[in-house]
Amino acid sequence: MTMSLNRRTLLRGAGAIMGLPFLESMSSASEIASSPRRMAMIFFPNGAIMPSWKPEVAGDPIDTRDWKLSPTLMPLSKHREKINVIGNLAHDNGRSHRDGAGDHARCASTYLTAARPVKTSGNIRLGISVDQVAAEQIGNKTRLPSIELGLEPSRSGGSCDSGYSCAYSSNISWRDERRPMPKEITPRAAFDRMFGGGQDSERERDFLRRSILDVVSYDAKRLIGKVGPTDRRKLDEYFTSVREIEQRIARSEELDRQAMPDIEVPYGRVETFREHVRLMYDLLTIAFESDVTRVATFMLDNAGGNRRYTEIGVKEAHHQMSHHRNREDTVAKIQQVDHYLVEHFSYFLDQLEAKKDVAGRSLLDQSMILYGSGISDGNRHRHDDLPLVLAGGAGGAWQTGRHIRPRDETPMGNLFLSMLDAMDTPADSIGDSSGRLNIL
Amino acid sequence: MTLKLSIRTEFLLPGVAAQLRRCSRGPALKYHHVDLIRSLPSRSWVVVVVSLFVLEAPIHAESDTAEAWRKEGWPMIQELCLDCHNDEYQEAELSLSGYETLDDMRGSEGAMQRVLEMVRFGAMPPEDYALPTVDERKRLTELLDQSLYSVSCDLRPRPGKVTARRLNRGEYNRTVSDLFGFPIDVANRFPSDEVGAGFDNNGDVLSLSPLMIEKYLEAAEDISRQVLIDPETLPRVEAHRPSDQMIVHGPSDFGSFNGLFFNNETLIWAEYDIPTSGEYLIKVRGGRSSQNATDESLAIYDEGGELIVCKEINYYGGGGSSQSFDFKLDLKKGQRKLFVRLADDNDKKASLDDSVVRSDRIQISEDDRRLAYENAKKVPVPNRRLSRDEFPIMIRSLDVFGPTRTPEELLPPSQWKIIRKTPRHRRDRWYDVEPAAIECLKPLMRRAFRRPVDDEEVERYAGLVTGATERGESFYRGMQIAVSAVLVSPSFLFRIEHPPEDVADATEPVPLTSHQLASRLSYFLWSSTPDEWLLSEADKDKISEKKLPSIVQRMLSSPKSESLATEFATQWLGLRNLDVHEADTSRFEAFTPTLRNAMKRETQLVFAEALKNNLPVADLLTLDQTFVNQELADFYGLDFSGEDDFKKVSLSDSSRRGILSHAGILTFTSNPDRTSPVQRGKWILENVLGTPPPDPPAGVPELDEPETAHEGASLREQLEIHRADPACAACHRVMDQLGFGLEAYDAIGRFRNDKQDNAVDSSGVLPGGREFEGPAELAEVLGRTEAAAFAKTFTERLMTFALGRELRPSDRCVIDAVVAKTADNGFRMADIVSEVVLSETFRYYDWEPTELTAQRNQTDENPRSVQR
Repeated sequence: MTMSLNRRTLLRGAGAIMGLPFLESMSSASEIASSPRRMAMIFFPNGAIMPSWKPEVAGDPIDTRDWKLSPTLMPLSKHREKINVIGNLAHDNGRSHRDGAGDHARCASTYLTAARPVKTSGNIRLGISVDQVAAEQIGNKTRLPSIELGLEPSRSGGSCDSGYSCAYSSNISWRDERRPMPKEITPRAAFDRMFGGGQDSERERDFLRRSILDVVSYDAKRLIGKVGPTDRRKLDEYFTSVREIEQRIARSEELDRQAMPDIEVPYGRVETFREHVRLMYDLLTIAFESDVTRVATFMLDNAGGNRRYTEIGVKEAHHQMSHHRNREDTVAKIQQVDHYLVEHFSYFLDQLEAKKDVAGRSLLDQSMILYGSGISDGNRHRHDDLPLVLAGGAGGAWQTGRHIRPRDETPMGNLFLSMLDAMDTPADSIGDSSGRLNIL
Repeated sequence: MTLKLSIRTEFLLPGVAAQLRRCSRGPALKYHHVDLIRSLPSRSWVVVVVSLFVLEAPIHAESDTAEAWRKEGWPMIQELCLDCHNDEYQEAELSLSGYETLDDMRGSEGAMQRVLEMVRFGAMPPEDYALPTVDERKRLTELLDQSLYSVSCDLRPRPGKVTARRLNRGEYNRTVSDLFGFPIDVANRFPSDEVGAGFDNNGDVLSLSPLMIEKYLEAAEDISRQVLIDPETLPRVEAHRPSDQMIVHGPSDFGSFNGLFFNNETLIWAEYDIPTSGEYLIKVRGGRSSQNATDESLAIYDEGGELIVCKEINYYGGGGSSQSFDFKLDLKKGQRKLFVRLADDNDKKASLDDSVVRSDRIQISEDDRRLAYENAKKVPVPNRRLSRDEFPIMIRSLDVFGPTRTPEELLPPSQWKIIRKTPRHRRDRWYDVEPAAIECLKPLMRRAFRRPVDDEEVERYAGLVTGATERGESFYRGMQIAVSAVLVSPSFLFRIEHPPEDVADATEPVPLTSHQLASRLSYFLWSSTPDEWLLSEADKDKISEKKLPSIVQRMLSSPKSESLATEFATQWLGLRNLDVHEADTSRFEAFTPTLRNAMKRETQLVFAEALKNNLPVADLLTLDQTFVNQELADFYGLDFSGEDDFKKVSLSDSSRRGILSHAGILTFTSNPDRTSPVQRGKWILENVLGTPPPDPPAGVPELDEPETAHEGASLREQLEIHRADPACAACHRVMDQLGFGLEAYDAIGRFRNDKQDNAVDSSGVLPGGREFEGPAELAEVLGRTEAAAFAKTFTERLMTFALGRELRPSDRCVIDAVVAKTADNGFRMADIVSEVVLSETFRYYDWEPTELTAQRNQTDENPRSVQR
């Protein structure tokens, strides 16, 4: 016999505490008025087919509203006016210089830090990432200072890419130069972290207690039928006490239901990539909506990842394909993957756009969502002219619907400093930044 | 005044007498007659003495008793009692109108028993009313007793119904400890248990609230994590040590892909934090530097210099390739080092079957060591042109994984008792969970529920395990949840006695099933769950009446029967009062918490020892041995050296005797600042003689108001004045005499030597002129002359504890029978325990049909109603 478990019930098998993060953070009137800004940085590995990524534009303007969506970015068409496509940013620290091979490790590690990873498999050293700069300053305003999501497990030790520690390839968020922020890869664990869950959480406990009480109250019922009136009184006492605890749990579930985001999050692993990535985007949306956190990062795969996107008919491994040597069919397949990933990103923007705050502004308007990679051309491991989309208006910090191409080799750290300004969490420098990206 | 007394039984034992009467076929039993000439201090003294006249009546036929009551007893009640206790006036809400015949008494045995006690004690009629003569009182007592016995015992005594009992705190702790095989004391966090009929195992008063359910849940969750550990949650290490994390002394060069090239002068080591002692897998990657080189070997030593491995290794293969080999090694918890060198000839020759220690190979100077650590901090830069000739061998990494097997010492002793089968586990998934869960849970539930379990109920608990694994939890976590549920189940928490099949006919007592009997036995004798042996005897239905004595003996010889001392005797003798007693420590500095505990322990140990040796119960009063630890020995002034451990000591050089000299009992029957002869006397009446005095009449001031006596009056003088009040005198006369006997001890049970106040007077006279001088004599007199009364008290208390219910009037028949059966051998304690178990009251119960059956029976009586 197996116990039938309703997934929704599982999710909601929670204490009253569950709804609190939202209420807590929304309790201050001034907070509501100023409507907080949010930042999320999404990472995909192995670069992109750049010709299919870059918008079509006449001439070489630094900043223009006159551009056409490229084939890869086509899924973003309905959000065209809410995004900026940014070109020409570079991570010089992603380049080999004298460190030899390891571009993928450097791809992920520079992505949000703009810092140079020390080539070692042990004593890792990098720099703080942009999300953590923000989290350090505003993290105390929300339940979680930041959340780090991913889809593939990190490797704890050993070397993943030519002598670089696996930590470099599996993390984009760094709390400080030595401490990567481990990422949640199962939606349930991410959900529990956002909404006060976890192995020993009140919700978990209540859920287990309810399933235990379910079993034992059945026992009591069975026994009650077998005993006379005196013993029956004792067992009734037991039974009603059990019932009362069950009802108490049910009441807190009800409160929970009222306060909880309406989402089903299964336990354990999620089978398909599509379901997995969308659940994570859903969770990010909910995290922002309920103001559990204002800072998030999300790795679609570890650097150099070798996922096979079979659901769109691509059977070859991603990283392997990325060294395509310009073979037409391989290039087409990678472009197909690029496009597919952008589709999911667009789904995320759909969700953010759909959520309006009290002032009628969408979450997307209030946010800055960076989507990109630390490598542009995967075939040749280029670290300049990175593929980047910055969605959302950051609460009016900048105009959207633009294609921006600052001068060549502009450090990506400059973009980070501007984003941090918009978050009202400014920093003097980050990694190899040389100033603000004023053009934004 | 001259009286002729029969001192067979000093304070009353009418039931025993009646039992003896019933059993004897010959002429009336012979008793010792003594002529006792005594001038009694007052009339009310006689009142008590009267009760000592017993047992000389011939065997009564029922009709004789009935007739005697109608002709003699009832007229006396009318004359002496009905003025106040009639239907109209109902003093103390008691009417004695209408007890003309024995049949009228049926159903009111409890009330009549109380009347008997009041009359016997002399508390009624009150002193200021017309009082019966000594003979009249004696006769009325006798008649009441006979009548009651006749009413209660002439039919086969009903065993009564024991209400479903929840485990109390002590039982819970012992039960889970016995179930899982190591001490667990979570129940100390539960609210304290209600006490009924003097014990906290009384089903009628033990209640259950939602709070308790929460506490049970918490405790169960706690226990399930203690008794079962998910090996996956144990600390493991996956320590990667690429060469850039190794510490190097001597010549070396760093190539691509972490290749550390070195030669025969180089010493290399790496450090590991080993989370737990156990076997680990060591993985080595490296190789010879060139294809040409010949027989280079890697030697690895532990931090003691012992050669662990010496292995010839091939050319590494160029680029990022390497040769690898691995081996298993036992490592101790803590920071460990492994040393690597290019093997020398001795290394190669060494046989690893012997321990080859080559400490010289891993020794370097302190300065070199410091330098090596300093160098290790630098990030090595790969040298693409390093000299393969200079460095014939290369190491890339030396990784440690493990422990490879879960070290047994990290698992609780219960782990593999619970986990009898583990389902298949592959890639985070568990297969065929349910059958494995059932195989684990069935034996556990049988033990926890103290009975066979059926498949259906096991399956529901197994469902918790499958549910957990489906949610992505481990099988072990699932089992923890199921174990929690088992520990919250009513079948675990309650002892419920019901017939295997509902019995429609409730007129006959129902025998307990073997399993129910096993539970009664174990919770009586061990305050815990049946052990495997007892349970399998029950499975085989081998707990027969014939086997019970040997089973009881076996159980009493188990150390677990110490619960009879710590649970039963502790409550019987009121020792728990000691825990909350507050002595005036400004006057009694010696009364420390440790002394308090030692006092309690003394009485428990003496009781346990007496029971173990099957001593006559009266020996508890007269024993000249006791148990003390150093603190208590010093307190008593005994020669001792044993520190905190309790040891048996002789009291032959002391005048302390038996439990009445135990400091604990003497202390909690005292006031904080002085002794209370009244309380001590009351304690003896209740717990030794089994004749609790009635409550004082309403409006009586608290004891010993000092203004009633002159300044500086002794306690004894104060009490004399107190006793001048007729309302008090009847009871206090005996009570105070008993208490005075213990006046030699102060309020924390020390021998007094305070001469400056009043010289201590510990003399007294008990009914029947039994004089004594001092506590030892009091104990001796009581032990000699009140053995039967004490045995009866012991039996009553024991039966109450054994059943977990208050005794009813009809139980007296069974009590009396037990006492009578053990009389010949001098009322020995284990004999009495055994007889209690053998009594039908212990082995049977009255069945109340379930509502369903009751309905069905009703339906049967009405043939016209349609049966469903």
